[in-house]
Amino acid sequence: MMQCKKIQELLKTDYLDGEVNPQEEQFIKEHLKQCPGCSRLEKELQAQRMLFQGAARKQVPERVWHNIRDAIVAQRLNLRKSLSPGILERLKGLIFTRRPVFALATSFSVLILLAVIAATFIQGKVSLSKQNAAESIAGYSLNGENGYVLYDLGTSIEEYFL
Amino acid sequence: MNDIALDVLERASVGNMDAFGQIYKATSSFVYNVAFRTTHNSADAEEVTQDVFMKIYKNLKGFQLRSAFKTWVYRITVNTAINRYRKSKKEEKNRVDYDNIIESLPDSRLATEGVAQRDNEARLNALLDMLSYEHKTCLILREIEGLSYQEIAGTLRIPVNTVRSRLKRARQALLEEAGRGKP
Repeated sequence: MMQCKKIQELLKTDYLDGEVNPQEEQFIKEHLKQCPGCSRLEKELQAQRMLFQGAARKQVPERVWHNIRDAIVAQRLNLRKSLSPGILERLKGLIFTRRPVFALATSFSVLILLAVIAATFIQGKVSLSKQNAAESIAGYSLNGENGYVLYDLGTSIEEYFL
Repeated sequence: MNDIALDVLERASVGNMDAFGQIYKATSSFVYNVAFRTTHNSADAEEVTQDVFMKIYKNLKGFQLRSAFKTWVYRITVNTAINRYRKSKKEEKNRVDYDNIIESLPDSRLATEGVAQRDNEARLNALLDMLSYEHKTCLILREIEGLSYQEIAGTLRIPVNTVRSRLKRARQALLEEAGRGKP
């Protein structure tokens, strides 16, 4: 009985698949001649195998290769396109593409222009305030309503010496 | 599957379409048939075959030619076919279409006909379909493609004893199912 169990396992695997060595094969064949149970199992397994062997191999449809070839060609074209853009695209890219260097240069120019305008404006203001200061020191200013304004020029001691 | 010369693999890996065509000729029958037996559907088998060859084309450059090309193709095929099968099963589950309704109706002719009286192809598909995908894959590689235990183990990255045990269980399950179908 133990022998049958072991042999039935081999029948479902190594024996059926030709993975047993010649001695094992001979031993199993001898057993099958004497054991109706194991012999029946072997016949059932062979019948099962016939089912697989009887199944026709399927022919691969022609269109499968055409589809694969087309997909590869399309993939290569896409790759080329992405690697080498046309002259027009290159020019467009050169003109319209924002580049950090150009953006920086533009910002810098605008900043300089603003600085020049501001400097001119401040210079005018400064010359006017210088004039005012001179006038203040003299004790009057044109800004005064009556043409004369007294300025607080510091502490009372300073005012005394003035 | 026929062996492929190393120079063919090398030329294909640098984009030579003739060489790639030779690889296709040598391997497409294996890929398509494994895909067909796994998915039981010719449209799915075509899709799997295309996917497998696109994967081979994309990855051939990085493939170590020293290692077994055949095992690599076997593995890509099995994985792609199983994924497709799982996806189809899921879609089938979510889809209630006319065919499913017809199939679900009780049919006395089909019930009495049993597995044994159907034609070979339908019987085979019906039997394979009742196995788990692990058992089914082992059986397809062994019975349909004739791979050795060692090759199956290498393809599925499992020990040889696991191959042996899966084959034993798959065959036992088929015997039980066939016995059930007998009048």
